[in-house]
Amino acid sequence: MNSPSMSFQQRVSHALADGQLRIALDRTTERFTSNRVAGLASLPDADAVRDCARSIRLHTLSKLDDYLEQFEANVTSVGGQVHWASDAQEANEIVLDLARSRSVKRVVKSKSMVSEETELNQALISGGLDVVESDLGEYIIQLAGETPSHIIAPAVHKTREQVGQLLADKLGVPMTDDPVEMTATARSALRDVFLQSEMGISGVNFGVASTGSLAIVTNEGNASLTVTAPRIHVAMMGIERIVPTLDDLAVMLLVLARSATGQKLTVYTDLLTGPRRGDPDGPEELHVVLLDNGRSRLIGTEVSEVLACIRCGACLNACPVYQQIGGHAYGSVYSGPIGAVLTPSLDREGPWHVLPEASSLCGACREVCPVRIDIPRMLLALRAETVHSGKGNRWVRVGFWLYRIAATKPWLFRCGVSVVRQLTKMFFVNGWLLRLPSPLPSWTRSREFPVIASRTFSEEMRDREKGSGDE
Amino acid sequence: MNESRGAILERIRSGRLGAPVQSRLDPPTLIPTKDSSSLRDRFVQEAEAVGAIVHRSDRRDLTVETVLRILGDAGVKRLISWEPNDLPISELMKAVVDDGVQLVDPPTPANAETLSREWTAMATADAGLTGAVGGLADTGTIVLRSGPGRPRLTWLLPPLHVVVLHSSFVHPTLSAFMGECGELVRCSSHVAFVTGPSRTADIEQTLTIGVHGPKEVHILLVDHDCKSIEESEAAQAATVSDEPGDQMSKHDLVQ
Repeated sequence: MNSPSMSFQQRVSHALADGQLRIALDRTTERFTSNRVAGLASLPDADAVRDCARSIRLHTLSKLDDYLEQFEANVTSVGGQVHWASDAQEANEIVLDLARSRSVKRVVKSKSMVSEETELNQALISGGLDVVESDLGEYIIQLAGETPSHIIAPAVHKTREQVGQLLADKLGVPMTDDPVEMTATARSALRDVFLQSEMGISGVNFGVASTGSLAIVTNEGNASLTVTAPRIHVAMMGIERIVPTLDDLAVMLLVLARSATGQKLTVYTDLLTGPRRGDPDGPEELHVVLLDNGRSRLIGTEVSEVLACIRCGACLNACPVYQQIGGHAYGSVYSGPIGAVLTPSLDREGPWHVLPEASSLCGACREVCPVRIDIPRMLLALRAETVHSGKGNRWVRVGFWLYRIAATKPWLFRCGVSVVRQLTKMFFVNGWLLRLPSPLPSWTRSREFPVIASRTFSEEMRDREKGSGDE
Repeated sequence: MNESRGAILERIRSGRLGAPVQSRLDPPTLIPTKDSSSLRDRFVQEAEAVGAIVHRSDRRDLTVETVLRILGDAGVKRLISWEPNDLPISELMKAVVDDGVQLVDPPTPANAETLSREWTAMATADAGLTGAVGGLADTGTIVLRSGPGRPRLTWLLPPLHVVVLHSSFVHPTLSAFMGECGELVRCSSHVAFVTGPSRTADIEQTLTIGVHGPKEVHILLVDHDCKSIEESEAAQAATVSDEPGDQMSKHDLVQ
C-alpha cells in the first residue's frame, strides 16, 4: 500500500475543512444507516442470522487452509485456474502476464477492493493496457483520478454537482446535476467498453469451497457484463473470502446486502462455476487470483477476527469519526473502523499505527457488524502494540508515566489534584478551559476542557461518611 | 507461484496450530410460508417492490398474448431469445417472430471452438426473452442459468427483459433453493439471481434505474403446463450435501 504524503492530522484537518465533503457525507451515511435498520428488520430473526453468519466465518477461518485447497481443487475441476499471490506485486504480475501472453489490449473492471489494495490499475496501465472501471462510482473516481472513499460507494465524497461537472469536462456532455441523466451518459459510454474488452477483471464476494463457484454481487449489473462479454475472466480474491458450501453462502447473502444498502438481495447475484461449457457466451478462460498480502500471518493472532469481514461497509456509515472525516482522510485503501484494524494489521511497516487512534471506542461498529466483529477490542489491542513497540506519541507516554506515579500514591494524587485545580481556576472561562498550555493544546484545539470540580469525589464521600456517622 | 501456494498454506497452518475448529450454528428457519398460493403472492409482492412488473397467467395462449403485448407496447423491433426448447413455452419464439419482431442471433453456434466476440448485433436488440429455473418468494428474485441455447447477454444487454417463470418453481428463500436445486449451480457455468431492474445509487444515493442492465424487467408468472418441467424434476431429485463424493454421484444421476 502506498503511504500518503500528508500526516493523518493534516488529512483530517483537510477533510474537516472541506464543505462539499461534509455535505456529501451527511447526505449519504445517514441514509445508509436507516436503510440498514429497515433491511435487517425484514428478517424474522436477524440476530440469530447474524450469529449464524458469524459462526460460518469463524468456522471457515479456523480451517482456512483445508477450505482453500478444496476450493482450488473444485475450481480446477470445472476448468478454471487458481493462481496464488503472496503479495500485491506478485498478484499484479500474474494478471499482467496473463494479459500479455493472450495479447490483451483492453481490460474492463468491476469493483474489486483487492485490486485497489494491489494497485492493479496502475500496474496494468504502466504495462500498456487500457483499463476502464465499470461500476458507476468507480468510473467517476477513475475519471477524476481519485481513489474510492467508501467500500461500497466509492464516490460517496462527491456531490451531484461535482459529478455533473466532471462528466461535462471529461466526456464533453452538457453539464447537468440530474443523476438520471448522468447515469445514462455513463451507460452509453461503458457499453462499448464491455463489448470490446478482451479481459474482464472482477472482485469476488465469496468463493464456495464445495463447488468452486464464485459469488459476485452488484446492483448495476456491471460485474455480470464484465464476466460475460470478454474472452478472459480474471477474479481477484482475498484468501479469507471463502465459504464452505452453497448453504453457507445463502446465509451470508441474507446479511450482506441488508447491512450494506438495506436491500434484501442485490439486484445481480451471480454464481460463476468455471468458464463457459458449450454456452453461446461467457468467458473461455477463468482465472482466480488468491491474494494473501499479509492475511495468512493474522491467523491465530489477536486480530485474526478481522478476516471475518464481508466488506459491507456498515461500520463506516455507523462510525462518528468516518461520518465527519470520510474515507480519504484515513489515507488507506480500507477506511473506517474496519480499515483502522485491517490496514495496520496487513501492512506492519506502513505509517498506519495512528489509525486505531481515530476512534472514540463507542462500539457502534461492533453493533452494526453483520458478523459481530469486535472492532473496538482489536483497536485497543493495536493501540497497546503501538505503545509497546515504542511507536506511540512521546507526550502520551510521558503523561501516562506521570499518571502512574501519581495514581499509585494517594497522597501524591491528592496533592496533584489540588495543584491542577488551582491552576485551572486561573484560566477558565465560564467553567471551561478554552486553551491548555503546551504540550496539551491539541486537546483544546477542537474541544473545551472542563475545570476540575471544587471538591473531588473522595472528599465528598469522606464528608458524607462523617456526616452519617454523626447522626 | 507454487512457492507462494506452499508458503501461504504453511503460514495459515502454523497460525491455527493448537486452535480448535470452530463449529457452525444451524441457520434459523426463515421460511415465510409453505403454502404455495401465498408463496406466489409473496413473490409477486416482493418482485413488484423492487421494481419488476409481474403478469400472472393460467393459460398458454394468454401467456403468449401477454408477451406480444409487452413487446408491442415497448415498440420492440429486435429481440434476443433463448432457443425455443430452453423457453418454458416452446411456441413463444415463433409467435413473436410471426408478430413481426426480428430475431437477433447469438454470434456463433454453441459448440464452436472459440466464440466470435462480435457482440454489436446483440447490443442492438430492444429486448431479451428468457425462462427462469426458479423464483425466490422472500426477495422477489428470478433465477436464470446459462447453458447451450441460453446466452447470458440475453438478460444483461437489452433495455427490456421478459422472463417466464413457472409458479411451481417459486421457492420460499435462497436457502431453500440452494437446498433443492444446488445441483444447477454445479452444472451451469453461470447462475444469476436477478432481483428487479439494474440500478445504482452511486451519485449521492439517488436511486437510478437501468445503469448497465435492463431498465425494465417483466416477469410472467404462469400456472399452466410448461414443457420444461423435467428440468425442475431433475433438479429436485438431486439434493446437495456437504460431501463432495456424494455430490459427484448425484451429479452423474442428473446427467
